[in-house]
Amino acid sequence: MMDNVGGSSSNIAENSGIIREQDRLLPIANVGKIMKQILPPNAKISKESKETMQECVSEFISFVTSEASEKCRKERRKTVNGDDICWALGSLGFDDYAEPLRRYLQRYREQELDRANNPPKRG
Amino acid sequence: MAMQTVYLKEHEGLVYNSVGQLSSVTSAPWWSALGSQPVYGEYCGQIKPFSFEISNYVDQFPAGKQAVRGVEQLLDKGHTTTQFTIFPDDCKMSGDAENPQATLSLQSSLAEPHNRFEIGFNQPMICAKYPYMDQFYGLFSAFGPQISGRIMLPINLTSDDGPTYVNAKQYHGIIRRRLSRAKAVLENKMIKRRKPYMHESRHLHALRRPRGCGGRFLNTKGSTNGNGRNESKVNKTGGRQLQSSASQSSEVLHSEVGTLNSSKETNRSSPNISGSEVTSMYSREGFDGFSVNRLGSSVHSLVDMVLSRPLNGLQQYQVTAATLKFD
Repeated sequence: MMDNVGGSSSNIAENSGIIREQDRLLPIANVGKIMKQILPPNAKISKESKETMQECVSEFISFVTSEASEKCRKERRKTVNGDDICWALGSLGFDDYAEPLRRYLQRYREQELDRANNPPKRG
Repeated sequence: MAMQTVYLKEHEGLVYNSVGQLSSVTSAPWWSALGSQPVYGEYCGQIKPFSFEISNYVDQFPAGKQAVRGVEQLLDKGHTTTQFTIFPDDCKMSGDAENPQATLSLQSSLAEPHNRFEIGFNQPMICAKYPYMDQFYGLFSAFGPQISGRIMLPINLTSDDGPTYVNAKQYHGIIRRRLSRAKAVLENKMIKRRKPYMHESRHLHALRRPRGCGGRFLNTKGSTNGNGRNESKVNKTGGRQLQSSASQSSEVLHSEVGTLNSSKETNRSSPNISGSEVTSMYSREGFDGFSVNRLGSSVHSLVDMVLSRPLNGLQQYQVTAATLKFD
């Protein structure tokens, strides 16, 4: 729900196509939870750390996605799929990440097939 | 003009010449002959023209554009090779009529000054692809410090640091992202400073919420867990089930009320055994000079203790309830 307490200035900002903070960055709470998973239970993470990591991961997503999008543009395709992301990671030198992601993508597709073949019962 | 093309396969590292030859030795290409000692001076002559070619690149821009278009066609076909066309016009061997001429052009689809691009792009490629790098270490140092597999980025105006070397595979991606961010900033589409909150109404609601000591919000699940621990401790001492308050309350206030209730129960059940228990409990709770016989004065001291701090509506209600309980 968009808050319009600001009045007309907020509407003008939306109309001019300003990229809002929540559209450009991942949610900071989710970033904090992911960072907390790898740390011991009593560890604390500062707000500055979460904001810095928020910027880093958001830029990394844009970096990999633009590489995949460039490949789709050259092949005259409009949809960026999971294979394009795996290829982009490989072409950017992140080979250690491309292989686990490829296996994850394969397993994800198998789950999707199982879900399609065995729809949950109703009634 | 005959164009001589050199294909560099990035994964295999194989370098081969498909059109003619540059060196005077017609039997072997110039880079494969570098393994032998006698052609050392000749290789020096070959390396130097690269810097001269940069000044000539502007004059030969139409040919360069043609080469770039050819490179794009290769990339569209999905080839993993990168194409370089070498034109050593200023080479010392250019006087030789038998030496075919070529134009130096590099893959460049960016709106960048080509000279800076070529300086950063060209040299590491030679270092990375040359198999006998150790034998000519002194020669490469003439071009400045080189890192294998790294490409120098164009100087970023915002940062005062020197040149930054990045992974060759990521160079184009980084340049592309830089252009995207610059475009977003230019169109004022990106908010630079971070907003303290996202929604005004939620911010106002948070300002109106009651806060305890330390600034934390009241009526959260954290204080309920604390009260649970205190209640269980009190139950062990008294041996009877305490009637817990229906509403959530602050940790300090609830523990004090529980202590008073348990002291009464202790008097009824067994005064002899509970003497030491009451003493240890009081010392643990930090109540100095507290005695069982002064129930009336203890209630007043409790009220005075609570009133010394600022209260919200819920706490005032709890203090009133505690006072009424002992009247």
